[in-house]
Amino acid sequence: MRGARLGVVALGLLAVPLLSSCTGGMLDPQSPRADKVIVLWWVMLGTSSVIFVFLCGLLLWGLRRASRNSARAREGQLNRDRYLVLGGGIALPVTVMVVLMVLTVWAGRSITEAAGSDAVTVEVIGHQWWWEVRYPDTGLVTANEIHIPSGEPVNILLKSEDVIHSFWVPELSGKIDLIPGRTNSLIIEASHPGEFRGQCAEFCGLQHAGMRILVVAEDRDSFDQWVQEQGEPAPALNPADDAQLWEGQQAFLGSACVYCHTIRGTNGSGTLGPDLTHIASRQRLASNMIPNTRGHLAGWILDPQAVKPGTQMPPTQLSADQLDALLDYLESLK
Amino acid sequence: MTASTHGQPVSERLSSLWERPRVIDHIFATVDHKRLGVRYMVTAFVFFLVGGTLAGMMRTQLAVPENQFLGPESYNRIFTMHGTTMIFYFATPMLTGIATYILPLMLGTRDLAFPRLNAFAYWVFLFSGLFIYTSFLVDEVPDGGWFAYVPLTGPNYSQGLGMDFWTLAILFLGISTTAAAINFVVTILRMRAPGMAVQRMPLFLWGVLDMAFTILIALPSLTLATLLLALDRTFGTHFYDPAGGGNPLLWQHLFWIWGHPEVYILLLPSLGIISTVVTAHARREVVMYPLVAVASVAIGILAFGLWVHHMFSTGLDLLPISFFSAASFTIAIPSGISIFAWVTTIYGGRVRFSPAFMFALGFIVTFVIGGVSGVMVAMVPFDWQVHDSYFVVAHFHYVLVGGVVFPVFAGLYHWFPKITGRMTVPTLGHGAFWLIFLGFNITFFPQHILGLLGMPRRVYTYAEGLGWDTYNAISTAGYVVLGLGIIVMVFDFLWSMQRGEEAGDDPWEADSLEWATPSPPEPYNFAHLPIVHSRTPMWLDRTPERGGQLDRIEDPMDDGREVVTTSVLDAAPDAVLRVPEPSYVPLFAALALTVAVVAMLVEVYPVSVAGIVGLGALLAVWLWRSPAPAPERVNQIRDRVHLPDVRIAGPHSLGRWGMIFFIVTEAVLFGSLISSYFLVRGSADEWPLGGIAEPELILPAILTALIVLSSASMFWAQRQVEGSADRNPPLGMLRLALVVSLALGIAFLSLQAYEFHRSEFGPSTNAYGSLFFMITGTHAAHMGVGVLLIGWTLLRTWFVSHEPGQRSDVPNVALYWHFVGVVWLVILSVVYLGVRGL
Repeated sequence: MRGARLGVVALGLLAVPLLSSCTGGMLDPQSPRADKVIVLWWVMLGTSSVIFVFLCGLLLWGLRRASRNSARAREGQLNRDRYLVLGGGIALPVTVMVVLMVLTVWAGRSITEAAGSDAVTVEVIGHQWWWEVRYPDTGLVTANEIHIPSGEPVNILLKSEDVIHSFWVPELSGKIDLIPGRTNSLIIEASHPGEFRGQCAEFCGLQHAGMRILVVAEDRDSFDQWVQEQGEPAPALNPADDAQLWEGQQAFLGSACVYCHTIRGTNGSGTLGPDLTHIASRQRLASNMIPNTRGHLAGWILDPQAVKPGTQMPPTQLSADQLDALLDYLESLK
Repeated sequence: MTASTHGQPVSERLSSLWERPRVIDHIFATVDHKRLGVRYMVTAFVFFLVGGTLAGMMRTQLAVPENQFLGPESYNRIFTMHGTTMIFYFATPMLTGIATYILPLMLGTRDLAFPRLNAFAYWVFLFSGLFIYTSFLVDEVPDGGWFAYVPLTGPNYSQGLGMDFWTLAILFLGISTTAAAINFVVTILRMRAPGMAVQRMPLFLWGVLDMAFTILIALPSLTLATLLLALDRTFGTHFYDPAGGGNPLLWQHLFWIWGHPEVYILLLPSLGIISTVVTAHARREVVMYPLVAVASVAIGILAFGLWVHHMFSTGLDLLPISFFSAASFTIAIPSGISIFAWVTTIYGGRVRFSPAFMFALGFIVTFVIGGVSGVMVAMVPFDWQVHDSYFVVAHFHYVLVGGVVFPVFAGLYHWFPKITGRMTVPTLGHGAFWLIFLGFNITFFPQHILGLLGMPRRVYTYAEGLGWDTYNAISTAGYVVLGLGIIVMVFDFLWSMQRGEEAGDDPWEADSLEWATPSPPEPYNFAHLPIVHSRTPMWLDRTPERGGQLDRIEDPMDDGREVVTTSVLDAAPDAVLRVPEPSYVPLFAALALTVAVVAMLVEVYPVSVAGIVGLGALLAVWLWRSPAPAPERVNQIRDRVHLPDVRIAGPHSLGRWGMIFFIVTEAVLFGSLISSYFLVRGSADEWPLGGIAEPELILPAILTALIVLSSASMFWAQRQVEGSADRNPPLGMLRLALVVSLALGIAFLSLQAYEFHRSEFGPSTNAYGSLFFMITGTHAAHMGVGVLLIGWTLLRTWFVSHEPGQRSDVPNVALYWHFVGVVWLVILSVVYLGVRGL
């Protein structure tokens, strides 16, 4: 029937440009471990397309015949029926399954292959709706931005403080959940320096969409330097020499900020929100919702609900001078 | 026109028996499967339109990045209610409705096995749906996702009534679904037309039978999951709370042990519809019938080995999940067999391009795409990437829209002439099909790519510049096309209902028995019950020797609302039964249950208890007296219609079968509960948790003795009834045995209450306490019901007289009581002995 044929052709025409134009995400792997999945994907897509086209062809051909068939002459059909059903229904799926199962075991093994004992370990702890990031080897604490050395496998330990989250950076790796009461692990490896975005993949409440993460891979020297810088506490301030910064620090310590945030080197040691000791070194704010610029930072402090409705950060009442000083201070925390 | 034994024409006589004259009785008291089936379909379709509107709001929000149309709160509520509505309130009830309407007609009988239960199931479904939608009126809408993962939906992270609405509605609805499943199983096993042996059952009946079995085995797991969540939320238990020793993954296991089979619960009857439509419109029986029937059964069984593939990313070890990956593959074999069987059938058939057939074709194409993407997500390393991404959203919409909605539409177009007596308009039907088919593909195909590009599910917004914008915009445009198609289809149905061409009895010249009735069928379906001799009676049975008519039971069976039951495998007639009269009791029972549920929501427990008591009283009335034909009447039928094996309905009546399948589903419930115990125990560092002492053994030993003795005395009661097929049972001995059982049961409950009372820990102490009280408490509740049933049976010995061999209450109650006793022995070995490492 012409209508049916046109429909299927239209569907095929729709599929081709859609599939060929997509890049990025898991189709553009930047990791030797994500590469394997792509091999698996193209094999599966190829096989599936062949099966789909074969079935549609058979169906269309059959429809053409069947609209002309008369009631007579059905002898000799029985054998053909049997070959088609047994071949298509049993032989075909079994063959495909064996091939795919071999591939999946191959890919699964290499993805989960253990990293060496000297590999960097990063602990990622999920919170509603941000990521706490710890480096247990050096005691370093940061948030929402993970730095890793490129070209090396890195152990990621995944935990949760509240509900279930899921860690997914498609260009580097598949996802693993963060489950309260459990520690899961994942090994990621970036084949070259670069920045890779990801976000929480398990529904975790109001701002599930706003729980984004950034992985920064850099060469070993830059990474070591970053670790060293991040390990430093915030510089001690002297009201006489850096009056403005000192004012800003007082604004931080004297307002609600201090109940939730830590700045190492000060009395601020709250743990409900991200560690701010080196906030100015991070690229984005609010779990990577907005760029880390002075204007965005001010907006975020004064009215976080406007930026990220539902966030657990309350608005902060500050005078214009206080805000100005606080922004200067936070921007100094490189 | 044959004259009835009562001197008036058969059709008049039957009409007066099967239909009440008052309109109000039709509305509230009907037990007619056709009226109830249409009600199911219409109600479910309204939910489909509501769920589809919610989907439109989501697509509007996601059409452009950073959209402000919906905030996160509204969006989360809407996607939760979209999934809940489509799965629970559209797909399952719609298929239930189609089966309710078609089953007795296709089987060649006059109603389902339990018509009042059918009415009750419909009312419960309706009230449950109204209940969950009142959450919009009070602005406390469920927002934890239709999958309701803990701890997000637990007491600490989900305040307000939203998720309470959800858990209660799902528990409430489960009663309806279970009732429908038991009804379908017993109807298909015991009420097929004489001669319709299993190898002659139409494939649709295989599909419904497999669906119903799968429901009975899968649904208890969901019931338990939601029950435990409701207890965690309301009474502070710790089943899912890691801080109290519970395990959040327990929810995922329980949910998916139901949730994965649920896909096949929806798919199996849908595949049956496709077989029906392909047979009728390709004018050829589906090839390799035995293989296709076995494939349907195999899908139902394999469905239970797949649940972990929803949990590949929870950090389970690679080896066990690889097993589930391989198991997931195996489902491709029966699915492949079915697909190739249909394609081959069409290949050699003589096709009629009706709208029903177009939807069947649309199903094949779409379902193959959903099937191959299903194989993809079963591959662990690939699933780690696409799990919880839009790729999965696309995949399961191809499976559920392609595999369920298209077959439902095919079925509606196919059976519309039978149900309404009128034909649809072909142009409108084809237009609707193409809009729906293309709209669907435009909406969901791009979502595969969105998933590959990294877009996760359940996000209310997304940033610009990630390459997601175009695909989202296309997807939203597709929704508009799809919606237009639905509007055209609804218009087609409404217009054709009034003004369509007259259909006649059998417009498709189809193969199965429903087409032997007038369109729409008479209230009694068949004036003479048919006897079948082939798989396609309308094609092969109407031979010239039979005068071009179906073979039939010559007696019109019009001495009351009579039907014949047949044996399970051969469908040899074995008894004559009477179908119950219309009744208001099902409606009132559903209302009592609704009162109980609403009172639980607002935590007014005395009212809940009153509702449950009311329900119990209504059930006692309901079951008080079952209609049965008089023995002389059975002899008369036996002689006149040459069915020598026909007996009077006794212990072999349908109620017995209903009880057996009820016990099957209850056994699975206890099995799930015991498995939960081991799962939590397995993840605990010590057991019992928190330094609680191991339970003492003296009291359980006494309890065990009591329960074994009570089972023995129930067995004794049973012997009194069953040992006397030809005479009335010795009532004195029967009463004594029942009184002894009753006393032992009450003693058990009192002692257990004492054990609970003196316990040093409670259900909210920690997860051990929660499980201990849940397991023993659930068992005690069953004992309580058993005690009430024994008391009810005892009362009946004074007030209800039975013909010899007809007393089915004692054996049924005894069966239940033995079952509850066996459960106790399992509990004894797990909770009391097992905990000591014995």
